[in-house]
Amino acid sequence: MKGRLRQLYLGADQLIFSRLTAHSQLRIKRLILRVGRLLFPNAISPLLTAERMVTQHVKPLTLPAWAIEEMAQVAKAVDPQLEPQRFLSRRPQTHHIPQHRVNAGAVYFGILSRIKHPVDVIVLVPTMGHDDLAEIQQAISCARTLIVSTDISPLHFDFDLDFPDEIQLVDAGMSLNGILEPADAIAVLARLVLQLKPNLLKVINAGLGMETVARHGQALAQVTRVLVSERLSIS
Amino acid sequence: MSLPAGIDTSLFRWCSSRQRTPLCSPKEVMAPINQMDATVVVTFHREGSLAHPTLLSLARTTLAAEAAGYRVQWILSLDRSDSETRQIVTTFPGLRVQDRVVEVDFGDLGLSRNNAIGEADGFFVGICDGDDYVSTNWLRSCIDAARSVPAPSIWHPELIILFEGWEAISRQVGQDDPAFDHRCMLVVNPWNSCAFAPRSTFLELPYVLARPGETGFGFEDWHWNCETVAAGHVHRIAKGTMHFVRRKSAESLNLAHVTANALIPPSRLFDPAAK
Repeated sequence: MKGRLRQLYLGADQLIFSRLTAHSQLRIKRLILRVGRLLFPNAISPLLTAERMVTQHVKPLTLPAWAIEEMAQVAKAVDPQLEPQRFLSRRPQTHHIPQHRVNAGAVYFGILSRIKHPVDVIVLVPTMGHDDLAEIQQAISCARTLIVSTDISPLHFDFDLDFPDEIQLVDAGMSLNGILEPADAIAVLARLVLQLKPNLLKVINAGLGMETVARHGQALAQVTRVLVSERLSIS
Repeated sequence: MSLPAGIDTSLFRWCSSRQRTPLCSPKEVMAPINQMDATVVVTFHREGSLAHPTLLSLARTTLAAEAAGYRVQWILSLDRSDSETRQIVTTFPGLRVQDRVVEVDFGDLGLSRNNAIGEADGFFVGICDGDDYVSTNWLRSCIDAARSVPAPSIWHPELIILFEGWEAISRQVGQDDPAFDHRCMLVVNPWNSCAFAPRSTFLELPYVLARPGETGFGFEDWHWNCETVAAGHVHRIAKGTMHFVRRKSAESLNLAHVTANALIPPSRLFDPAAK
């Protein structure tokens, strides 16, 4: 039954959904996911989001008649290499601007909405269940710290540690890892740091955080100091 | 200068005639010289001979806009240009009395554009790069479209033809399209550099410095698009217009930004206050 429904979905996606706009696809696929999770609660990964299911039927763009006419004029008056028949004979690619990639932005604004106060320090840790978290609790002496987890925690964490109000915890592992493109998850973390402009960014054994610093360290260093360690070394 | 085979010479005849017979009578030229409908800002660096066809393309779109009754000015910015580019731009026969060539030493596209926009007399400003072309109707269509909507809007060409290093066809989608979601702008730049808007928009929201090798920040167009969206300007598409973008296989500024893993600088679009 499950296999048949999956085949049915894939067929419909190839023939119908992928030809719709990303906006329409998102609406339909959110509904499909909701129904699917009701019918088969354990069969659909919690990481699967409607944004990840958006596909694009890359229909080659064809030049309308007015564009061909304009190209012919440009070729005559400006640059012969734009002669439309010659240009089209070289089989130009279709470049779709991927405006359907809203998932990273949605995750970014989702994280942002959970941050209530300005921050002086951002700490990136792998998970909220990380052993170091209790140590971080002991070691953090400065106010207004944001601790962001970047990996999916295998354990439920009950946030029972006694953090002062100035310490904000955001478990972003699930949402960050639900982003289809790894580079986009890095872009979310980098943007978070750039926009919040903490005095200090500490990356403690968080793989995604380390990749973010490795890739965008130069830009991050324009707004904050960056410390990276494999183990807790706050002081 | 000898002409390549197949080049339509009517444009050259127009350029030559413009030098001898100004658009307006001398009296008109003296009086309302600063009352231009639009200024086209073109930034040149080291385009060399490629600057010439760009200027021809500019002449075509200007001619069409003037035929519709619009007054057009060019500000041609030479930023650390080589002698060949300078020679081609400064001696182009289509330059008129209202046009200006400005030499600057910024080494930065955004700052060069800001400076040129500061010199502009047009109510509207259109942005072009020194090795790209626009369609004949670009200027006229943008002015027509910009005057037809009351809200502050920014206009982009509908079709983009990429040529030379990479040949491709692309279609831009405006912010007024129901499918558009501004959250894509965290990882995607929806519109290219060819923008047309009231000059006041560019003065209110200037381009930022983008030297990825020095700061890790780049993509001044993308950042400007984010800033303008955050400020409430609506990016729209001028239907039926085209932008021809030369994709060089090497030495592309865009490529430099990509390989440097550049990010756009902080933007109001992603501010905590914007959540």
